[in-house]
Amino acid sequence: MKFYLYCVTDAEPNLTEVVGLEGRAVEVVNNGSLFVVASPFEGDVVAVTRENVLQHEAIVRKIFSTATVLPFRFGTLVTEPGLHSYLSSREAALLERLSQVRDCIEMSVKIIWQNSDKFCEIEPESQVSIPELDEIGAGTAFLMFKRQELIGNERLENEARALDDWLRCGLKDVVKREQVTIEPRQRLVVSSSYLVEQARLPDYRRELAKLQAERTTLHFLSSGPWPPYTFANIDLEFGAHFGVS
Amino acid sequence: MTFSPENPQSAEPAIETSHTDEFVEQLRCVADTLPSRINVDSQSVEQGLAKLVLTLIEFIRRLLEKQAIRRMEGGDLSPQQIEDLGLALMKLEAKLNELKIQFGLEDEDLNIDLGPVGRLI
Repeated sequence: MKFYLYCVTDAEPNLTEVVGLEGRAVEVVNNGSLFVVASPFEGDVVAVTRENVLQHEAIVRKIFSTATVLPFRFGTLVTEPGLHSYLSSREAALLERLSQVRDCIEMSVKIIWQNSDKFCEIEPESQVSIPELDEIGAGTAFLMFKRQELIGNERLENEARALDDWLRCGLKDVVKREQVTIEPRQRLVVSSSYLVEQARLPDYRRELAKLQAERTTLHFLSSGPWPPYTFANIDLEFGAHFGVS
Repeated sequence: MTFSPENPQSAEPAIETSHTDEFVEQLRCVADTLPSRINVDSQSVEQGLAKLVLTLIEFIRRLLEKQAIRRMEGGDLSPQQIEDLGLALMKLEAKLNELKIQFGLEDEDLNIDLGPVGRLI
């Protein structure tokens, strides 16, 4: 038999009225100082449905409302001996990670930028004109074209990095940790997750509102508070431990 | 720690944006690029292997291209050497495009998500 995993915590969680994925029972697996909230599971595959994903999130959030948690990513399955082996070998690291996220929530910011194509445009003086291209070979023309493309891409990356610096600078005093992904070639250019102390949440919201007012051409999406999915990082460790994904 | 209705840990997450449709569209694009569960059949294994190999070739091709451009800008190549290098890289790009079509891969397929480190290309 396997277990479907929801989250790890360091205090025995209250599971009153908690129902698992597809109506399964939810139980606590204890190992040393750690408690894992899990459902007994027959089979090897968890159906990826809207209902299951929302139910996983609801259960993690329910436990999170009364305890500090490290959530597992949706779909994590493991055997009972495997789970105990993982908890025994990683107990100290998991307790340390729990202490890092204690009293904190995760907030998320995503940014879409407009007209990013203009950063790739080449000034007329730098462009190779058609008569010049007629005078050179196809190989040279190819390299010149690639050079222009490279300059445009570098400019785009610099603009994206500047945007990230601006956001980082504006929020640095109100967040504890951050994880930022920059995709200069995408319209959704910045995706950031912030670990924020609960007491600093009003400050975080105020500073983010200030930043949004500063750059009206950017489109923002902010969300939260979430359990610290991004900062738990245990799915990565778990995959490495058991060679599963 | 005390838990109360005002406690953010008890609060329902809220999503705030003035551009809902735009974000839904962009997030759908991201979701579409997420790897699906691996089906171990001969065709998908072949395509998965081709994707991995072609991604590495594409990565090296881009490095070679950048290096060639740097050398061209540095002025340490003769016009004939620039032409030869350009033609070689042009043929390499054409060959890679041919292989992508053969294995049913798009430009955006040739990348590897390295987790917290970001994407390879």
